[in-house]
Amino acid sequence: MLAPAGIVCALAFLRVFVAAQRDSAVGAPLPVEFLVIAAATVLAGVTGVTAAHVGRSLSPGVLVFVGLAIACVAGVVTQRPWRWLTLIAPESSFVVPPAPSSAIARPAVAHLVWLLSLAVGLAVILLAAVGARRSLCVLLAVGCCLAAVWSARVQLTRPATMATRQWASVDDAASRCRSVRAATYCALDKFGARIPVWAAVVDKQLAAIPPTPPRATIVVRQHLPQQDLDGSGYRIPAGWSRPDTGGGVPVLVSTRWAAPGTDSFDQTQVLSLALSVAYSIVYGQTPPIPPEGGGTIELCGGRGVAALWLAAATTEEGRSALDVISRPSSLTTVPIADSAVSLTVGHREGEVVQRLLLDGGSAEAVQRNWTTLLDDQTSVERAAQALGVASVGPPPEGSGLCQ
Amino acid sequence: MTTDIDARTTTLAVRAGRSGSMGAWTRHSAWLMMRHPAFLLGTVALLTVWAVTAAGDDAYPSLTQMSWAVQLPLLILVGATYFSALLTALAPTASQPATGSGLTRCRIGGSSWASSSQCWLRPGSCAPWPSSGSL
Repeated sequence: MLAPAGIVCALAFLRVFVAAQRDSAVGAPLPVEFLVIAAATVLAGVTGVTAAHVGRSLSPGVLVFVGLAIACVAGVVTQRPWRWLTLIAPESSFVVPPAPSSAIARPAVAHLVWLLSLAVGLAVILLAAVGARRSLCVLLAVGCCLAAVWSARVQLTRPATMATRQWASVDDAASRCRSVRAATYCALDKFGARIPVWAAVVDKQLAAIPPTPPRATIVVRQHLPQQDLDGSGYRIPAGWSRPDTGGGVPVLVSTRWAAPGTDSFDQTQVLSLALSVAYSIVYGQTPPIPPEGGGTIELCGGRGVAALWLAAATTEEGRSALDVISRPSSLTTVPIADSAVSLTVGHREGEVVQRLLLDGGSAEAVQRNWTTLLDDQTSVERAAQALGVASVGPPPEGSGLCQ
Repeated sequence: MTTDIDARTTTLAVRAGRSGSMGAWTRHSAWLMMRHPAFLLGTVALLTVWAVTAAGDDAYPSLTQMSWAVQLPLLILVGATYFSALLTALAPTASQPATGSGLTRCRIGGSSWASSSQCWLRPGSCAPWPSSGSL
């Protein structure tokens, strides 16, 4: 069973190696996780042999397999610490965003020790059954028990907020800033490959607006969200807007990203960056993050129309992300950097932009009416009229958005 | 269970599917298939293709989230290792022929496979015979 373990380990390595060759690849894998899969394979083999010797027929072996499969599925669907006691323990990509290696809190070493101690423990049972030396079996059994207890304790007592505390320190320590044309970009360690993609979003938005007086530089800063101590949600790190890069307008960007056309949850963060950049252009300031750490920032009226149009119409990424997000709901709302704070565009503002996008030739109309759109007194009806959109429906009943 | 068989006079094997159980036939076939080099090579080849092509699906791969555990094909291989070990351990084991008394005697043991009288031995030896037939 060492051969299958080696094959599985090599395949996992090959998969990650191929992915790492892409220019847009970010982050670095945990090497110990390659050994974990080899250990899981060895454990599966030893379990099979043990089931055969103890059960003496196929049926108990099948039952053991079904039990293992159920445990694995349960470990996949839950986020509770006990999932680390199963063969596999992936972290939900919905809950935990991609992070630099130094911020990953997976107890991979303890998991490896846990799997190995189980495998050796079962092997000891087999050795005892065939009459191996009693003293050797006892010695190995004691060692396995100690290793299993230690590793189980580490896995079960892993603090839920460990990652949060690490992320906070990583944010400041690992950020590397680089200026690309009109903006500055600060990426976490190993995430620098995303900077050209972010720069394309910013550049195309700036190119789509009429020439304006010099404005403050946009500073796109990548952040990991911090989980609240009660585990109820994620908040923007304190002091995120600190003007540490020459007094620019800071814009948050997540560690998530998705390619145009992919039906991915991560599209929310593509549109989040595009909308945050558009907000800084249209409103001339960074989105006002509520100090309590949660809430909604509404984009309404002419400025809301202008911001969503900039976010969606100027890049393929923004257009694709809006398509994915607005498919299940007419409401365009995206969390800022995976946090509990969201940018939300009014229903009717979204309707105007959708019609402009369907029209296709809206860029000239937007540029011609740019000053009107940016006037904070411009209503959505006035913006629609100026842009040539025939009419917009009434606001949805019961919605307090943009009222 | 251990059974002494007089290979000269005893017709041991029962053709699977006729009077044997489907479970034994399935077990026997699966065991043989999984041990076959073509099966193993084919499996590894398919998984290699998967490893190379699947890794190219994501335009922005996050290596830190590329946990092996969520990759179903690897889990299939882990499961196959379990069943391979299980079936191998359940397969009959046979000693070398005991000669000298004019009889070829095979001692078969190690699993219910032998006790269910549904095992096959290569004629003239005690090696397992990978198809139905009689001694």
